[in-house]
Amino acid sequence: MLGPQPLRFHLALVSSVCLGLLFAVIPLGPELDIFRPELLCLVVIFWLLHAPAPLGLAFAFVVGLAQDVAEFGIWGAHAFALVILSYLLLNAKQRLKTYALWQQSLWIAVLIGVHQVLVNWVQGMAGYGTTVPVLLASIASTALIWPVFDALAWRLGRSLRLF
Amino acid sequence: MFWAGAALSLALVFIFSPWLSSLRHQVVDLSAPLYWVSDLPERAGEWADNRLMSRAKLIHENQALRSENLVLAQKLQLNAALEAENFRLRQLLNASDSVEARVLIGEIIGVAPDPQVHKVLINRGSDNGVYVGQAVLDAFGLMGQVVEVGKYQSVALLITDTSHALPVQVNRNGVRLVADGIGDLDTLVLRHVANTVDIEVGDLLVSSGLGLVFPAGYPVAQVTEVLVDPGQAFARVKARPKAQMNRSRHILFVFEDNKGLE
Repeated sequence: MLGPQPLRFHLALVSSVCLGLLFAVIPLGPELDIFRPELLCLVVIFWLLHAPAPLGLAFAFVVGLAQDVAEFGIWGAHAFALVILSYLLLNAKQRLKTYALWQQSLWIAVLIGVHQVLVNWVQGMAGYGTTVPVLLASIASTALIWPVFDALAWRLGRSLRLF
Repeated sequence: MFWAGAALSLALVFIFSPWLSSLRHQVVDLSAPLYWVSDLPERAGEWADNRLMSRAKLIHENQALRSENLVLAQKLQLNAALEAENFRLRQLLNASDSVEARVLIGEIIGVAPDPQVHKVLINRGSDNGVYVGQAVLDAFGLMGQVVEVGKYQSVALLITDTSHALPVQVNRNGVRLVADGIGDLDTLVLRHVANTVDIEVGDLLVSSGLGLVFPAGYPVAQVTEVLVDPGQAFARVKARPKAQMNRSRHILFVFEDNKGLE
């Protein structure tokens, strides 16, 4: 799937996903919980935008499934949402890369919004339903964090000579 | 779009069929390391609390525990007499005697991060004899039931989860009701309470044992709100769980040797 890439690329890929998963389960307390940014989504978006290897929907599926298993949620909920997010992202990839970071943030907000609604839809089939303010809180926090995340991850990637 | 279809079908199988349940028990141990790492700050804090406590504070705490112990011991004496009396009366009635339940102490090492999903990861698994459907308590009341069991860890569903309901009884008069979780850690809602039922704010709800999952007689919640609207078919009753859902770290598994109705 990934072609001939250096070992450090694979290591970076796996460890970034692991860190994203860790952030997804770290206890934040009931007040902050609804503002938890979907960092794992940003990790996937970052790799799809910048990775030298053609990462695809299978990658998104695996990461989403790992998140479902880790969160004791409905298996397939995050996987489904992340695959759809990645599909939309890959279609708009070239255009998105020409935008300024704050413009990208707006796109990220829309993509995360789709993601959250889809996760909520699948979980809704199992009886869990969230409210609109909760959805909006995580969408806003994720979109706001994107410029910082992208800049830092890009620097880190460059210093590891990944790109 | 193959992957989207695969994910969606996986979700549907997961929700509507029991085919994945054996796999679910096996992956509990897989996600445990993640929670173990994310729990490290808490652990470090606890360690520091234990090691770096001042002498004066320790003495003070020791005194407090000693007096609490005295009070509890006194209550236990009373309890022993009552239990003996209860046993004799039950023998008169030819009822099956309720044996005191065995318990196992566990520690919560992780909490499901989704605010909607009220599940906790506990550091005891099938190696310790934990089984699916086992009741989980804290020091104050009933907390939930075990839904997934790994080898060394298990996952418990709390009684406040949206998908959870448990049969309860009003302690004062024995009225049987069903308490639903609504996804709020501080609230249970009582289902189908007729307007004429004798229930008041402050009533203690105890588990009735009718669902054959929870043992009978453990405190569950205290009624906080009773709204009787003659225009509605049922009264709206809310209760606050006795167990400290988001604070307790140490919990008890109850083993039932004679599982059954009173």
